[in-house]
Amino acid sequence: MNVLGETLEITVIGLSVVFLVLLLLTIILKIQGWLMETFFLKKKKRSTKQNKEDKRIIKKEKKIRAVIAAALDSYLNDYPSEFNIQEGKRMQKYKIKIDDEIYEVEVERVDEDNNEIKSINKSSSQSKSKFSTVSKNTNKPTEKESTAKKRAAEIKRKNKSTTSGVSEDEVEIKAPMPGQILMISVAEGDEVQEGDHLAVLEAMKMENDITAPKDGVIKEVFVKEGKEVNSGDNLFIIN
Amino acid sequence: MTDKIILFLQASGFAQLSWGHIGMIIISAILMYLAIFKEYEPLLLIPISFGIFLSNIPGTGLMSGPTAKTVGGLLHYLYEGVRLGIYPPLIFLGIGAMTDFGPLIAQPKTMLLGAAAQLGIFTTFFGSRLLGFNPAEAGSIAIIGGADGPTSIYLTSLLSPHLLGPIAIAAYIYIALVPLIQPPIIKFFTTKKERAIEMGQMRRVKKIEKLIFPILVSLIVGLIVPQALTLVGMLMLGNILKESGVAKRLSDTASTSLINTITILLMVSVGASLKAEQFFTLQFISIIGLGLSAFALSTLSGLMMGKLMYYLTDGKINPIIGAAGVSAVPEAARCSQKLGNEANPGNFLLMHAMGPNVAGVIGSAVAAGVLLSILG
Repeated sequence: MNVLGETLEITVIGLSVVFLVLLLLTIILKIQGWLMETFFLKKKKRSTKQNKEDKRIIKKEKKIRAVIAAALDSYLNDYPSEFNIQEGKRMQKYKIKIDDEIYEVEVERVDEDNNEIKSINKSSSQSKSKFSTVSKNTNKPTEKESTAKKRAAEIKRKNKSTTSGVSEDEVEIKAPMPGQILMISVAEGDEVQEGDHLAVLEAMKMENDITAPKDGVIKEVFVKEGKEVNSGDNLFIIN
Repeated sequence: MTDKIILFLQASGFAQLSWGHIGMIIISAILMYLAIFKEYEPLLLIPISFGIFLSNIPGTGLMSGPTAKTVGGLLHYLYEGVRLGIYPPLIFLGIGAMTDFGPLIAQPKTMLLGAAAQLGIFTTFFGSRLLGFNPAEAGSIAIIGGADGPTSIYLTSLLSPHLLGPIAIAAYIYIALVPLIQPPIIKFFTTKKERAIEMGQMRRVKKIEKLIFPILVSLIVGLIVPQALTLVGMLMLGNILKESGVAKRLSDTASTSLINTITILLMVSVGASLKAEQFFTLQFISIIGLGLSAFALSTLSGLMMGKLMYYLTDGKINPIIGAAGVSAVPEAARCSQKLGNEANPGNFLLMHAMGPNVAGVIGSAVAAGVLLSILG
């Protein structure tokens, strides 16, 4: 019984001291972290301003996309014959120009009456040439762009739900921790499926597999084998 | 002539060879085999096993102290560094120069996981007392639960030096076995959904914070538990050398040449201190058993604290990083990373687990300090 009491005493004292020390450190570090944030608030404010700017642009983008989606949807409903897809293909591509920005729209025919808008992407200068062949095929629809544009405004109010069909299909894959890229198993343009192996990142003498979070095509590879990365660095973009 | 031959033969090893020696030599051969061919912690096991081997060749006097006629054996003097508690703090100096406390500074609450994972130390203390060890011995055995080799050796050399060999062996065996011991415990007490939780990016830690940290920790630990400052102080000295960025030569030396040198000296002397009469006893077996329970309980208590934090933060903390609170750096953190990644391929917990992991080092050093001040 004596042993028991004495041991219990030591256990209680020991544990509480360990907790006391580490709790104290936790609190001090918390305060320190808070001070750091307050101290560097100026920098942060500016960045939030920037964020707001970014958000505004994204919002505008979204609006434009919604308009396009709505316009094209109603246009195709009104002129179903325009949706002349080649045999065996279910996808149709359109190019739409708004305020000097060119948007590429992919439309999929689900059945006779229903079309689903797959994606709307702002085309960069590089991909313009790439898709020039496509625009030939879709000449007719682009001619009638202006009608679609006019309709867009009125439809926008009614038809907000169409925006749900629009998705931004780009996913950035970032380095989850600092380390070195040992191996890259994909190249730009490769098709990958969810769970496919993309690269090996070595951190703390441990090899970690970076895998694809979804199906898609590797749009861009930012790193080379042997490169040191920091956490948060971009590794890939999957489209 | 024949007299001289007989005299020479009597002084040779063969005449003094006992079954105990033979047994220890066989054990050292097995350990060497495991180290070299199975690559089972070779950096530690080769010097340990060779130390066992050397000191069990009878009649060499490698481990004997000075007498009126002789100056004493080499290993005897190397062992002084263990006996006086010099090597473990120097190892800590090197570890400090290798450790990045950034993840801990970015997420201070993970510090508590490192504290919770020390519970096993005290429960094992209890168990050891029940098995009939005296308080000093029980304290030395219990510290195995801290899963920190240098801390175990340091505390044992000061509290109960006669148990040093078995305790060092047990501590290093379990540290090496972290990848086998922890996963079943973690898997049993967490769901796959919990293990799959991603913890996102950590905030970036400023250099000034990393410089304040070693000073802050040394000050607080030193004021509250003075006996822990030997280990923690050296750890933090190594760390400030590293983080200062202007003493690269010193931090490089501490984290490579120095720590390697000390590891050789420490391990060979620990091995040499292992005696046959300690090895083949019930005591040794119970130390191995108690060590395992200490380890498992520490893992469990860290995990439970992780669970508590998981509920308190509405599932933002992945409970398995709590198991990394046992200090074995970085094996325990790797273990969390592996299990998290298994449950969700996009889950990378390594850096988040390093927080509790390095907090565990501080925690077990503090626990050792407490035991030292109460029992010493």
